[in-house]
Amino acid sequence: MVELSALMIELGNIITFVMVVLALNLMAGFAGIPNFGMAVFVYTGAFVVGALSVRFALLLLAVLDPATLEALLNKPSYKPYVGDMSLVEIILFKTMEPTINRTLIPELSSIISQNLVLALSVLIFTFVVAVFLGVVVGVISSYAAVRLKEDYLAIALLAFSEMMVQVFFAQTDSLAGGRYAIYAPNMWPSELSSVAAALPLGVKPELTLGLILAIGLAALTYLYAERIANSPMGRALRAMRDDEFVLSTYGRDIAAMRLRVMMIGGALAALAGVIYAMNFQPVVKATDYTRLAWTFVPWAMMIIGGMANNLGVVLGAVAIYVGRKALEFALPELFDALKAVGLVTEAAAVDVIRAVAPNIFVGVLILLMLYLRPKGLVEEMPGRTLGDKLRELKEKFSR
Amino acid sequence: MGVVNLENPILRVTGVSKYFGKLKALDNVSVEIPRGAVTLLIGPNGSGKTTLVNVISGALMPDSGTVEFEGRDITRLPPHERFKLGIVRSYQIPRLFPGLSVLENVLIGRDGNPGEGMVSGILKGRWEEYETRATEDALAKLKFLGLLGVAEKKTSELSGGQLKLLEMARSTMSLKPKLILLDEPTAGVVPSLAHEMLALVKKMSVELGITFLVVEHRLDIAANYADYAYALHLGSVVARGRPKEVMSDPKLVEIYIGD
Repeated sequence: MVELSALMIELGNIITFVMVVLALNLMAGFAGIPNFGMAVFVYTGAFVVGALSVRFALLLLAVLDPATLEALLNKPSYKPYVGDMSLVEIILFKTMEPTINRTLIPELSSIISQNLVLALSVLIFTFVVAVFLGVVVGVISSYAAVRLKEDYLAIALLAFSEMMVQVFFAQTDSLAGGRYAIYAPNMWPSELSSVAAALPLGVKPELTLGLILAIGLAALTYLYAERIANSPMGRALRAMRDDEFVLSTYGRDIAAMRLRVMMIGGALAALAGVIYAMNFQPVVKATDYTRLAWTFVPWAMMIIGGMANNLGVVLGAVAIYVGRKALEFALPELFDALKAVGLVTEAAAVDVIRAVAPNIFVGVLILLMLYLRPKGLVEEMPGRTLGDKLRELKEKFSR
Repeated sequence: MGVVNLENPILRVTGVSKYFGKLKALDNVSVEIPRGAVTLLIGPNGSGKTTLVNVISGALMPDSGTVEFEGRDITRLPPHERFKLGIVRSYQIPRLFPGLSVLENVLIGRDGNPGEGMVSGILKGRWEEYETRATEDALAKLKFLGLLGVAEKKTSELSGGQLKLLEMARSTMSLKPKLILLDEPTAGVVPSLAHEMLALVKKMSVELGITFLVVEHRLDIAANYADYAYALHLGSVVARGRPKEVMSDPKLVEIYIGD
């Protein structure tokens, strides 16, 4: 029997992908910007949770409750790492040290949960800063998006993302742990946790709260994306994707449009990174935010679901995620069965196949879809800017 | 025929040359487009007509020479800025948005929609009225051009002639157009409809004061609706004047019939 909390985490992962794919669909499906750098946008959110919110919480604690901060950081076991650094220096440069981080975060988490002001401040800080940094990364990416043609742009964004996440952040231990895991702090005040704890679910109340927040944010993201799709902006974005030059001869500033959509898409993807790291994958490590997991899989979800169709890409996200998970669960049993009849003898081969099978599944699915249903599960539709009013207008003119 | 006033042209192209490698597409071309009139641009294939339209609309930068619009030098202005000044163009080979419906393609021709923003797009109250009016205008144009029945189809379902009509509809959607460049609008369109389209061009020019520069091959039809004409050959202006005069110019007759 699968535990409820495990199911809730899987649901949270699906919701994270739904948000990432909706953001990607705005940028690539609608606006035609081949964003192969999605990983850096998602990591930006996780980075804020793991690296910035901790420092913010500690700095705020220095103001609200200096004695507690002193007790928290002035530990003999930290001495070999921090020497005689000041508290602020420790906060800025040493909190991501694996040995310190491992003991600091659980203690900080319980302090945050007991302090309503601190908890709410950290929550707000995390979301505001993640949105801001998502916008900044979007602006940086659009700098290339304005100047490069599609193929070059795809490679440039892929390289940018890899360079930032897998090289810069993964190699800079003091910023966000580098190759070492750092932990996401709890940001929920006990006032809220105790409400969630009253629910007869038998899971950690923080997980319940996180899931509720994730569902709310994903729903808002979907509503936003649908509104845009059915607005004059959605139409202009699709026109830009089809032929940006012709659109420019109709008075649209392509550079400005790309900038705006990258800012919004970047902010949404960073928000997805926040809810993921905060609730469902609280061990933040730059090297986990790979191009496979956070760029190619979302692209596959979008292509299979149907580009420029929000419902389609959501279905694609759910289908791919569930399919991959099902394979991960089903394969060991299948191999046990094969072993039992003597068809498989090499244990190592089993591990290799288990690791690559979900990706082979995605690859085969993309090929099949492109062959059989190139427009995806749900195909692109004209924007319904006026809804049913259009039919009335058409009838008026048909007479 | 209206009186053509060349004193104060809306557009003045001076000494424009454009090379494609060694090919001289435009060779020191100077034209003045009379304000509020319909001007034809004629000439055999490869004479530089579309290149000139491209230079005027900003799709191509000339190697030398200047383009002035209402007295302002726009030689280096990007296309979207020229559109804002009131210069609109259509394409000889229709360049429509394949992912958009016919109606959506026409609506793109109307700029300034307050709903074209990543934030304002979700505030329907801000743009619904503008969108409704634009849609009414678009449907009226589609009806005139016989495209109302396919308004919600993708452009891939249209015939070549229908695509030309759609180009025409889209390029006349702008709210304050001053100069509309039509690149062979009637190519592939049945003659009776070609007459109607050019009559509409003439009507818009007379009633709304819009200036048209129309690239045309079908001189027999077009001459009836135009006020002025330029003939290009091998990248140079070889004749200019009233359409009937230009058509009967011995040089042009030789170019078309000779060789």
